Amino acid sequence: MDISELTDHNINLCFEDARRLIEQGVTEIFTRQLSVVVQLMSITASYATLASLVNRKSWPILGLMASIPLLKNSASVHTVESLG
Amino acid sequence: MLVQELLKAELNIEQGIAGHLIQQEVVFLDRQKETLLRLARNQMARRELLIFGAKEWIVRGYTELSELMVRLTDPKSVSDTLDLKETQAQVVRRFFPQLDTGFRSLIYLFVAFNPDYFGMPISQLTFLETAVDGIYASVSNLQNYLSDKLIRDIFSIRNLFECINFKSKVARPKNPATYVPHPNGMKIQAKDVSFKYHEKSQPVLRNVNFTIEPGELVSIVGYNGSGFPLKRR
Repeated sequence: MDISELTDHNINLCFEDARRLIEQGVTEIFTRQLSVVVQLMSITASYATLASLVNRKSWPILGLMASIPLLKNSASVHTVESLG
Repeated sequence: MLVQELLKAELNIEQGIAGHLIQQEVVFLDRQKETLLRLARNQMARRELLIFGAKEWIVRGYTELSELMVRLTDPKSVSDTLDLKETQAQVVRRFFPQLDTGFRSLIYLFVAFNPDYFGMPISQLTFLETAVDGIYASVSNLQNYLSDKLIRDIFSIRNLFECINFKSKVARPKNPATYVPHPNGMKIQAKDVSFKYHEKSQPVLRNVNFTIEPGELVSIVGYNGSGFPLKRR
């Protein structure tokens, strides 16, 4: 690269960002990105398990099971907010 | 005085009615608990209930939930506590986990005693519960990961690859001059060098010309503030 190009604002920003990435640790950042894929795969696997277990009769049970954490979460959040 | 006595009497009646209702509730819950225990002790109950003490777990979950409901609906226990907010916080901390366990145990009971109705045995319900919890945990983790930091990281990675693949736009000359290193080092040559600290100030250097040959030793002499460091630079 030419010295005159290093003074360019956009190129400087680009290099600064890359430097920050290397200082933080590239492996850690790549792992964080990969963990999103892992979580998506986990959701798919759980969904496949559910699909294989649930039939026409067992939908009410699935609905109840699925609503418990949802209700618990929303109720606790609402109560904590109202308590201030 | 009469008004106060009337109010007191009304309060007593209300407390009496509330007490009576709570008593009825307690009797009802006790009856339900006995039925559950009877079912749990029944040797003819499904075999799955015998595994890992599932019967005891179901009955304990239900009992804890019912006892908590009675405690919460009892006005005496609430009025004894002065700090209402602290009571509410305690309720949130203790009530929700027990409510969760209670509901889960109820679902297990439904399936345990009516497997044909719901089309699944209790063992299958365990897998179903694990899958549902897995989905919630994964979604929660995903929410934590999908922050602005992640998006910023993606841009940083893109920038890193751009830096690696960066190609200079400055064209190289066709016949570049070759650098011939001198055995004693470099020659330093200054031509018409002028410098001012500020635009309006007097120049400290004006049209300075000199050449220092390789290997030559030069000393600069002058008054304070006459620009030695500048010349050294």
